[in-house]
Amino acid sequence: MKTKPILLLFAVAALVQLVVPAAMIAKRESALRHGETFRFRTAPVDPYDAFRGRYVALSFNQRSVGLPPDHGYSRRQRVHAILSEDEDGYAFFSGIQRERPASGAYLSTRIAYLSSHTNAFLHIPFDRLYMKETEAPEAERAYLRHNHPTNRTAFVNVRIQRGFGVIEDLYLDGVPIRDYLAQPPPTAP
Amino acid sequence: MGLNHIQWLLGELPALQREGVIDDPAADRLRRHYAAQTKPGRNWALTAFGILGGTLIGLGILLLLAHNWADLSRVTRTALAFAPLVASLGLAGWVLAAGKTSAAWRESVGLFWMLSVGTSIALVAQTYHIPGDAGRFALTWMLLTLPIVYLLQSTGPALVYLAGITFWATDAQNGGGHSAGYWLLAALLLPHTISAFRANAYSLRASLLGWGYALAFCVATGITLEKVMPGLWIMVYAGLFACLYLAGTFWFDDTPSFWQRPFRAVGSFGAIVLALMLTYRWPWNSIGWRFYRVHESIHPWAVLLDYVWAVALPVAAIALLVASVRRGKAHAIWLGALPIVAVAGYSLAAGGDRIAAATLLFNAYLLAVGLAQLIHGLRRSRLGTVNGGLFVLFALILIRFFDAGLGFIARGLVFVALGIAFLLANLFLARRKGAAS
Repeated sequence: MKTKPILLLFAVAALVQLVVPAAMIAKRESALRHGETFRFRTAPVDPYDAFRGRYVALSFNQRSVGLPPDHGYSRRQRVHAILSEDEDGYAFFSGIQRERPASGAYLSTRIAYLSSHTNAFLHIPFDRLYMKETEAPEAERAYLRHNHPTNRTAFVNVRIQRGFGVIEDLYLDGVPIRDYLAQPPPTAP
Repeated sequence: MGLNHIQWLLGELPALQREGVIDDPAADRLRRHYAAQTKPGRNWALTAFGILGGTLIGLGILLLLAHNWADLSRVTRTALAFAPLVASLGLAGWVLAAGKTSAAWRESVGLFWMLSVGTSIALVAQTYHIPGDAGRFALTWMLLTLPIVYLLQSTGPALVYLAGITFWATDAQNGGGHSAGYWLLAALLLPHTISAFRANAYSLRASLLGWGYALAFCVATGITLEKVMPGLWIMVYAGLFACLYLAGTFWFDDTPSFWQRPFRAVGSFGAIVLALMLTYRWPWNSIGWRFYRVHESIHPWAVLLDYVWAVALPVAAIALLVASVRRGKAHAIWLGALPIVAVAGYSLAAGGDRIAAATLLFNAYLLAVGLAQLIHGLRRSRLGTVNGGLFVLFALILIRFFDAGLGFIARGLVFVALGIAFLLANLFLARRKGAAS
């Protein structure tokens, strides 16, 4: 066996196998440390479909933005969604554009689909929260209770850096989900 | 030399010695020379247990980490993500440097290494809540671990790779994307496969790769089609199954066991199932240009690949068929002709809505295939082929018997007529045999 070229190939493969997860970590750590924090309201999820094992599926209140006529956007196109905050401090998408904005906060994503060519539904790149296998079902139930239309106090904190977003945590009643599950507040009569 | 040939040679030795063709020392030398290759039992046990061990440890670590140790800090979890990967890299580096070339080492370390890479990126995804694109996860994993196949020359990781890219293709196609890149990904494994077949086409390694490729292609062909032209799959699959069957017949006809002929087994089984499906009306409804699908999720150049397959596979099958017949394998013409029959059926149904004619064509075709197999098997006294022919005939008879689309009288008359024809043929054969003896 030609040992030298094989060991060289081994070194390259090993390096790539180590660098890829390391790069995945580095990009997200950077966003978590230096990114701007945004609160996204979550919307009710389908209880039959939402749960797949050890994570909680998140569904967002606002997924679409209005488009002008003759906008020229197409399905799966890469876009940058401009982020703004409403009077309650929750984030919303105020529009989309093709070019990366020079200033201001934005989220880089793709158009999931176009609805009657007047609305673009965006792919939200943070739609699940991984949890401990025993806590995940409880979290899902608590989350669904909180997403009831009259009782809407669930949101996620997302750190966004140069269009790249990483979920920090899910909050119910302003309390991080794991703390909430450890000590659930008394249910209102 | 294949194991079957060696066994044949060793079986011939006593007779050769008796008849004085070779002397005793020469016979002993031959026995010693082939002894290592004919006693695979212990090696295989080692390899099998090695594969089981490597896989179980890798999967166990994956499960332990999937529990999600949310109490641990991100730094600890990161360290955990890298631990199995670093361990498997150390192990693989040692195996390579120490020149451990036995299958047991290569396969078990290869599988453990492959799983540890998956574990590492899965744990990173879990820690940072990376959204669920399972297909992209599989693609990253497979591309990162493909070098393992070549570094360790191990087949287990090659099969996992085939399964992984097929999973990616399914996910990409379901998500509204396209998966035309599948064929490029599958081609990346070809050098390994070709070298395995060149080394010994009848080895377990080559057989496993053959089964992996044959089954993956059957699944992936359907997945990667963009399906803009309804019914194109009929010609694509007819071409694919015929190609598999004919390739198996042309290159690996003298294999001793069923497990060593993956291409012929998958090809003939697929061809028969497809032909049975095509005896019904439903595959022929609403096909052809007049029902061309237009949708924004369709990718123009991936569509091109549909047409390439629809032409290339039947043409390749016909070329292989001609080559097989020229090599004296005339019996291959029956199943090998499937793409020609499929093209004829497609023209009937798509061109002029003659769906009944297309189904009739396939009923007649299967009847011919079943009879031809039966007769070929009887002539060569091959029980497997006889049973294959009987299977085709009985499957056809049964599905027609329960076919509610045909009237009772029509079915009854055809059944009685065919039954009489069989009995007459039997009588004729018996008389001829009697006259001959």
